[in-house]
Amino acid sequence: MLRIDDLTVAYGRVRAVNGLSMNVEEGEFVGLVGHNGAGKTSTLMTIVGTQRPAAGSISYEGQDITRRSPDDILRMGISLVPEGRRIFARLTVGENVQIGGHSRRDRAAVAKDLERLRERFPVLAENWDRSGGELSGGEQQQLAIARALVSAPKLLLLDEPTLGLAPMMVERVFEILEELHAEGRTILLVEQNAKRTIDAADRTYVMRSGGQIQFHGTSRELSEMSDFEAAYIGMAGDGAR
Amino acid sequence: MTSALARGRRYVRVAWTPIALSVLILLTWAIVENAGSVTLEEDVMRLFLWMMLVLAWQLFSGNSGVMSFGHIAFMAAGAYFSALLTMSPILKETTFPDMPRFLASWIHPAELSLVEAMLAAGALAAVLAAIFGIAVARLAGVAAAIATLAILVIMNTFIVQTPAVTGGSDVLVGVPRETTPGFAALALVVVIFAVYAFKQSRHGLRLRASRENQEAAQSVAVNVRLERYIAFVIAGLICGVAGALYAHYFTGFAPPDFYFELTFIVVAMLVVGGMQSVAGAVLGTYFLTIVYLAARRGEVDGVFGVEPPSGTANLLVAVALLLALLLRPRGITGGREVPWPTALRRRGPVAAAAAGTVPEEVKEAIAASPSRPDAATPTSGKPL
Amino acid sequence: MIAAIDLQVGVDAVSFGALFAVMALGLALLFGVMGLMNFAYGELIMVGGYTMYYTRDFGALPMVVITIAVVVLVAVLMELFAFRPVRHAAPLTLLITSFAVSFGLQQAAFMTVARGRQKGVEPYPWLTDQHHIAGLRLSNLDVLTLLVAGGLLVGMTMLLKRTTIGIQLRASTEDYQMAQLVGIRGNRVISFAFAITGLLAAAVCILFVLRTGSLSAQMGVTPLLIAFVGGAIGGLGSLTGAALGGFTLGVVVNTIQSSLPVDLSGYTLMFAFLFVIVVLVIAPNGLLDLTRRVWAAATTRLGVLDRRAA
Repeated sequence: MLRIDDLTVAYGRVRAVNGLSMNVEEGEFVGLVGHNGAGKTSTLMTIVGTQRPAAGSISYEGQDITRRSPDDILRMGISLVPEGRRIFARLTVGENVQIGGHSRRDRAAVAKDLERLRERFPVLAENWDRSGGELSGGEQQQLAIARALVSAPKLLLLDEPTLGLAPMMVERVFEILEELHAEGRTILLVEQNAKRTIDAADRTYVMRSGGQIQFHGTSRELSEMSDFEAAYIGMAGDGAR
Repeated sequence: MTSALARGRRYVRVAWTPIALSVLILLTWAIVENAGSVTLEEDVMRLFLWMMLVLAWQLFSGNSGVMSFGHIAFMAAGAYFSALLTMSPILKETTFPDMPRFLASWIHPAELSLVEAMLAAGALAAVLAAIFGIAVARLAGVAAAIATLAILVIMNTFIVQTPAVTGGSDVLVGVPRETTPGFAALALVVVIFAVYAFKQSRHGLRLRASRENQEAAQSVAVNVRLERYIAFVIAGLICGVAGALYAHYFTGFAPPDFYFELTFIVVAMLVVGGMQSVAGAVLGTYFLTIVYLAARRGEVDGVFGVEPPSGTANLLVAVALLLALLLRPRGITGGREVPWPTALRRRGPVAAAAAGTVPEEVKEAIAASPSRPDAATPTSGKPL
Repeated sequence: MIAAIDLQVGVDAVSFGALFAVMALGLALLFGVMGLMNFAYGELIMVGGYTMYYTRDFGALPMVVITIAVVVLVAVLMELFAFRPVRHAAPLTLLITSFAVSFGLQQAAFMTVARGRQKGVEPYPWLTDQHHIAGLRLSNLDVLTLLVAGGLLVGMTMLLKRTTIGIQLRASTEDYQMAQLVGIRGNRVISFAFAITGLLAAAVCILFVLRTGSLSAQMGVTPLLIAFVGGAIGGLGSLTGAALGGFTLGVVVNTIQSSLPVDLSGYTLMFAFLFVIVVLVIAPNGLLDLTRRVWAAATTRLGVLDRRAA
């Protein structure tokens, strides 16, 4: 479904991503983990069109989306839950959620989706008319996910959704992702929490600084690596941050 | 190389930017002296004085990142005050008959030389900047910019509304013409060195650090407020001096000369040149001044026999500015200073390697050394 | 008697302030959406003024309609040709660009419509008819200004809160990049913002010209200054704050002007801007933020008192 070929992203002379290749098949839950600064966010920003790559290409469902604009890419079915959530603090919860659906034509379908979202995220339904800035971190994360879902994406991208959340909220986020995956959505999850991601995902890419793929495999394959490698990506004990 | 020569070379290298820029200024002055054209002399005086303002602006706004729209107010103060101190007493009696006693008692009889008046102007400007600077230094970004805008309006309104002391909105005439291009060039060279020295000094460094990241700078004990204050006052002083020089060359001026139009020109010149460098201040001034004055000549003398309407010159400057910004958003210099000429760069092995040209013998020596077998080959960039 | 005079001064000031609230709102809208401090905004008023001059014999309604149309058109063209190409540039570049556009428009006016005798638009006689309400004098112009400004502010609020495009505008104002990521078309939103600003500018211009009557190439400079500075002290980051600040400064300027003895009234702007500096030092985050904090402090203190009493 999504194919990245030899992607290079540079900011001035600094290469955040250098020759990255990966792919995500339809219906998969793929993880992308790595240390801070490895280039994960740059990769996602380039997929959704906010960032222009210096080299390489990205194709989605057979079409080249390397240089498309963000709102085009959204209409093609890719939606991003960005790093830091970036909900609109001055809009209400309801407005935040609805804004995700502005690009869709079918008002009736949007209304139905909104209803389903209110059921799935009761905490949002309760706070529908409060301004987004008043929610807690975990609630904002749910809001960001709900907002991304309203555009009915075929591919959902998430950038470090558990960053800064309490352990219970981290679990809740992963629960939601696993539910979405079970419903058949394609998910690309970028995380620093390597262990949990590798467990939840079908396949995981491990990125190192400079943006190249270091390891790649299913949960079982990764768990069969040597101790050294496992420690490197933080499978032994707590994640190596 | 003898050590004295080496030391001399080092000094020159350290001060290369102001030296190179000063040479440019002196060349310009030499051209004017020899051309003997009055219009050219006027144009070049404008160039020099604008450049002084742009340099003052670079010192404050370029280093601190805080926009100041108000420094022209200090130029106005300098211009008027210096004029008051050098005009002949008889002229002052007739121009300012209503000046209050406590001022007229020492202003009316005063007849200072240009240098004295210049110093007095600078002092007054510095005092005013010191007063207003207390407020401005405490404010962040946008708020500070607004405050400086307020300063500009306050000064302008005061000058217009107090004709007893300033002649009000009428053109003030009768200021003795004492500034020569040579004197102005000399003053300009001094300012160039001063502004560059400030940038490279501890104050300049701290200020630039606060520009990049205010919190980080504060965390290493940079007193951001104080640094901004110091720069603000010094810039005000320079503007005051420029005002005095302006008054004593153009001998006639009025409040609109020191208001938005001049502020805009100064800002534009620095932005086009490159805000973060002294070279940017100088080159930006040259660029826009040449465009402006050429356009003005065209406007006055006609182009291909056609006389463009008044205001074309300004329009052209605005267009030139827009184009320059589109093509080079970081300014002509991009914030860099004058580069040390490559012909004079050393040819030692370390420097050469740094420049990317490794001599053959060195390469072989490295390849033959046992401890780093792969050092000679460039890294392939392939993943492990 | 003194109280009545103060209130009278207050009424004039309020209608003056309302004008600047509307103008500051327009500036803040552009500032939020584009990070753009649009100095050319004052020139929209100038363009509208001259349009009014050339259509003044067409009748009141056609003049108003044509002026609105022309100003909105100029605003949208301004965006398309001057600001869109530099949209992704640094804020300072945008600032200079808007300076350049403002300057260019003034010069263009100098060279064309502003030449020769000074032009003016005579205020309609019925505007100066006065009503007496509770001992206060209200001219028709005051009433018109208050109604129009009030209507525009209410209308803008409803537009922003109730309509789709309004929500998109607010989202773009807060986080332009994120708005794009949820599918908001940046170009459309920005053009719309410019068009709305054009409408606001047209309204301000009409009310302003009807009040003062005279036209010049630089007539937009002082209103822009007051609106910009007022909006800034209110807090340009939020639309409410900007309107509040614009209103406050408008009221202050008008009050100072009326309160000063005649021979000192020229100093109005000077005192007004000294006031501005003081406000900035006391409330660097804007008046709105200051009022919120004061309100919060006051209510918590009251809350504590209540609990203690119980």
